Amino acid sequence: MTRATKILKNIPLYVWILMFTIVPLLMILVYAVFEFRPDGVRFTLEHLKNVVTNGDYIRALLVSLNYAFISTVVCLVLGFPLAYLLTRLGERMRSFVSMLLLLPMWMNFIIRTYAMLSLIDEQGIVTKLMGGFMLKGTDAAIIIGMVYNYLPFLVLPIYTSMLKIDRSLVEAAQDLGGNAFHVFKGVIIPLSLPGVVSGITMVFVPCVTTFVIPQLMNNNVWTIGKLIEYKFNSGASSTGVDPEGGALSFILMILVFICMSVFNLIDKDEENAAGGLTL
Amino acid sequence: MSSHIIDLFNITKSYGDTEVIKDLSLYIRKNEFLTLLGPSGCGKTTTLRIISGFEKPDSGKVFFNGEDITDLPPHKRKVNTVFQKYSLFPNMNIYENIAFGLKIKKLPEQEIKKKVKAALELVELSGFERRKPDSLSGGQQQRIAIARAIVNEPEILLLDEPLGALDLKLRKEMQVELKALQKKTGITFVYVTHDQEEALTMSDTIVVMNQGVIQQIGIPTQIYNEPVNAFVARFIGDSNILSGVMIKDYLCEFAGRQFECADRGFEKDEDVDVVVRPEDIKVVSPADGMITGTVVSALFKGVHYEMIVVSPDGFRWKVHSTEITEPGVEIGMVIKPFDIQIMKIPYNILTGWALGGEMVDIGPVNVKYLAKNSNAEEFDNEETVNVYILPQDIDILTSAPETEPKDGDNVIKGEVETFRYKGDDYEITVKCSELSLLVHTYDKVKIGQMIYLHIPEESIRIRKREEVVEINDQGN
Repeated sequence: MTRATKILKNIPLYVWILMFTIVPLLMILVYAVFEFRPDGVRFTLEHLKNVVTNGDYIRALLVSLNYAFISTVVCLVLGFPLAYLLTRLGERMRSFVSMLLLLPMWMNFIIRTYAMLSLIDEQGIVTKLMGGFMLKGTDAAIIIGMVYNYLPFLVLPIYTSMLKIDRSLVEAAQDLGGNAFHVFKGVIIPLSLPGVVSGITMVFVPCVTTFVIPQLMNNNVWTIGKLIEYKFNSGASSTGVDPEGGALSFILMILVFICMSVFNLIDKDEENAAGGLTL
Repeated sequence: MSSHIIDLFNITKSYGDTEVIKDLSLYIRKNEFLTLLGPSGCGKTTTLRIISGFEKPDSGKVFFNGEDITDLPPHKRKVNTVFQKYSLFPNMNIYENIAFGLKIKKLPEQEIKKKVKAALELVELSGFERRKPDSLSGGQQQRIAIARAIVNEPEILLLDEPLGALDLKLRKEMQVELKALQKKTGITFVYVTHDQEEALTMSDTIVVMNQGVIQQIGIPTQIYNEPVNAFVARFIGDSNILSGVMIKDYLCEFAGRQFECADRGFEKDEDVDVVVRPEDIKVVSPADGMITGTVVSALFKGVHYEMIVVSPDGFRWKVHSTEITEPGVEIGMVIKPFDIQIMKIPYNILTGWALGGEMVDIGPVNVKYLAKNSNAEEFDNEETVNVYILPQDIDILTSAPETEPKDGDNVIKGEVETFRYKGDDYEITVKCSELSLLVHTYDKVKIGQMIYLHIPEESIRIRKREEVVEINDQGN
């Protein structure tokens, strides 16, 4: 195959990437640095500067990162053992339980969140069980909403990478005198790390940017997601989109990108580092 | 008993309906190189895994230095394994792999360092500490796997087809190295392989297994020169296996004439299997031969030619000779008395459940037997017993029975799996659901054909499974 035909064959892919990835990303940038007024289009870096210097915005960003971090940790604490227990089940039971795990995912995200909300609002069962203490409107409510919605996205990649661990490696560890703890620490945890990394990515990023969950569970706080939504929707002026929305999105995107790069770097280090096991 | 490091007593193990180990008893002596040899599915790996503790026997006992370890989990056994796929931890470097077991034992860091270094020297891979397993070749990985096991100074090293993934040249080198390593360290090696040459090269003792039953235990020369049955003869090296009749001591009839032989102690006119190794047949002129035949093919095998010679009765002889005889030429063949190995025909050994009323459940059907042919008057209901049936006692029904066979008819349906001419009659194996039966017959059948077998009730012998304790006492 010549180089030319190779490129020709890949054209559909390039078109797809261009239309659905490059163009939308550029549009965010365009909204961030151009002002669309009736009297014409104007280029300005003012909005970008505003966004990174405005204390409210920075506060919203930190709040969002904080929620996302806590939620990810909670997901990990719950999800890692869950994934491990799943792999220990028999084959038929395993597919049944993993289907149960996926079942809520077939329901719309917002409906799911409303369902959760109905448990913790004024009339909710949970509220009644806790003697009238209402979770709705607290930080905990946001964490609960995030964990509930994103837990399966963390469990599944970990579960998949755990399933791929060669049974004979576990046996090798046992053969060398390793009890259940040694096997878990020496084999299961290090070899399921790739799944952990992609699981964390799948949870952390949407948690930072979600606006539905904070809006429904605790509308008293401003998260970065809510801010962007506000700028593009209700806050948008009659003249068009608020350019600060574009600027916020752009900055957030870069931040998330940096976070993920750092995280992937840690993962790579883990793989290359000498220390896989310390007993 | 004191020199035994491992004693296995009456081990059985099944996966679902398949019984992979049937009533196996075996001891392993200290410091020996013992090989479990057999085709895939013969139960050799399962036996190894029962010693390492990764499989629990359904019944039977495992003793280690005279101590019952049947229920001891693998990590508490003083046994280490070299796995077939090496199974090095990919997330650790070589040093950490080898140190894994030592760190668990909480040895001081300095000592661990010393031991790992010594282990690497032993397998001639010094300086590999910082490397990752996947940067090593297959042969190197295998050596690390051996180092990782040996560094723990196990009393027994179990090796599960460790050379299977290596190329021929490397395999040969590793065979020599492994044998040297065993001598040097004095550790008892239990080695599993399906490669007969490997077993003959390295072992002090070879245990030949087939279908979950030990066929023969012996030193390599014994296994090769005096196979106890046709299976062993066929599995170890090339052989011509014929049906024969023992006329009297030192005289046997096969291939249409009588031969002097070196064996005695058989019943008069007892049916036997006769083994003649291809290299033991001397090619002479047709006039001087004990048997004559026509060469149909000749292949150069490096040191010798392998010729197929068809005798007038239709048997295809395999003959090795350093001189070639062209296909189409008639030759004579001479076999010396000492080169004729006479073997008893092996019983079909089945697992049965005594049902009372002289009936026994052998899996696919319940069959009737005669109590006078068994070693006990009464069996407990559902008691597990061994059922013995000689291949020549089983008849093939010429036509399908008019009604479906029922319990007590002693008729069983099965599919012909293998078919072999033995100079006089045919040896076939018939698969009857989970059972596999060896049958000797004069009828010609085809592979894949469905046939009905009749097992005469007087040919079925039942034996109690001996109690573990009994055998133990005998051992003392």
